[in-house]
Amino acid sequence: MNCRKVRVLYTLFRDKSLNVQQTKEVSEHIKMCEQCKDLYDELDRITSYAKTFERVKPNPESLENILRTIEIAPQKRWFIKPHWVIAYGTIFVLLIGFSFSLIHRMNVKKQLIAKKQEEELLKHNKKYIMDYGEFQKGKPIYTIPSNGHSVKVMETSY
Amino acid sequence: MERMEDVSDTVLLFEIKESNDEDAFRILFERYSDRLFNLIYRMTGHYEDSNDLLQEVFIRVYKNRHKCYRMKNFRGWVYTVALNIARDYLRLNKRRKEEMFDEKKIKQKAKDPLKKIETNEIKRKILNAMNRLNAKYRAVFTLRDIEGMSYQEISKVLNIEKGTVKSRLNRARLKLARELKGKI
Repeated sequence: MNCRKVRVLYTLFRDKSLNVQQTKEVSEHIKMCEQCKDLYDELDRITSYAKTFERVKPNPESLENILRTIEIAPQKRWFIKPHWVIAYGTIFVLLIGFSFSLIHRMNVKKQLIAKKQEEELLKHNKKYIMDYGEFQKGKPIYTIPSNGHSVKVMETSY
Repeated sequence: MERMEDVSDTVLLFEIKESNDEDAFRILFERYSDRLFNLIYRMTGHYEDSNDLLQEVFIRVYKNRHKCYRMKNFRGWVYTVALNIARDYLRLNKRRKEEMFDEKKIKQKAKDPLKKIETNEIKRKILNAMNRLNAKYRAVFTLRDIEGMSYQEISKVLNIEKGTVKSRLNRARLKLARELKGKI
């Protein structure tokens, strides 16, 4: 192994990351070559010193300066996020509206069915419905409240 | 109950993002400020400016709080931010490169006063030589030999291959060794 190759491997040699063969070769070269040995010793010493550098403390006011700059302040903590409240609220209102509309439709349908059944029944019994005041002849039999209007059921002539 | 100091970065960042929790921010600052400051200081060599740059790093963390808590490697990210800020500073302040490390800030606990002076002198020389290194070599040297990071971590922080980390570190060490040969 020549000097150039050995120097490329200094760091790995120092960090004991070379394989056995390479370690042996570098080690033997350093023993034989004075220049490489001096350079390696220097590198080793610098690396060792670097590890002993003490930590320099930052200015104690740094944190306060940062906090002032970013204006950090506790925000109101929501149990549920506002956008979720809006979303759930909208869904709830829509559901209620839909339910009422459904109930109303059902009632109307029921009324229509009842009315149709009554009409069928009256027709079947040879009776028909006239609007109040329309009949001139005959005797009214009974009154059906339908759509808020009073009607008279008259006996048919047929 | 878990103490606030023991909670993970993710939880702290979530608290900051969710409720602007000042305590969480303080803990995060305490956790990282020393290391980041040292990294920046070793890169720039200027104490006062390093403080400003450190503040910039944490302001950036706060501004990015909405994505920080989702990061898998916040530590790597924040080191990258610090390095980028330091590099930008170096680019803008090439003239100030001559302004070297402030000796007052480098303290040595050695009991022997003579030894202390000698050690400080050697460290000052190393730091000055480091300051003359190219920023990419200085970053690797600082992260590995001063911060004690693994090759893997450095590779993530600098976003370079592990092999590149090793070769850059070797070059950085060799440059320093050649420059300081016979001086320390």
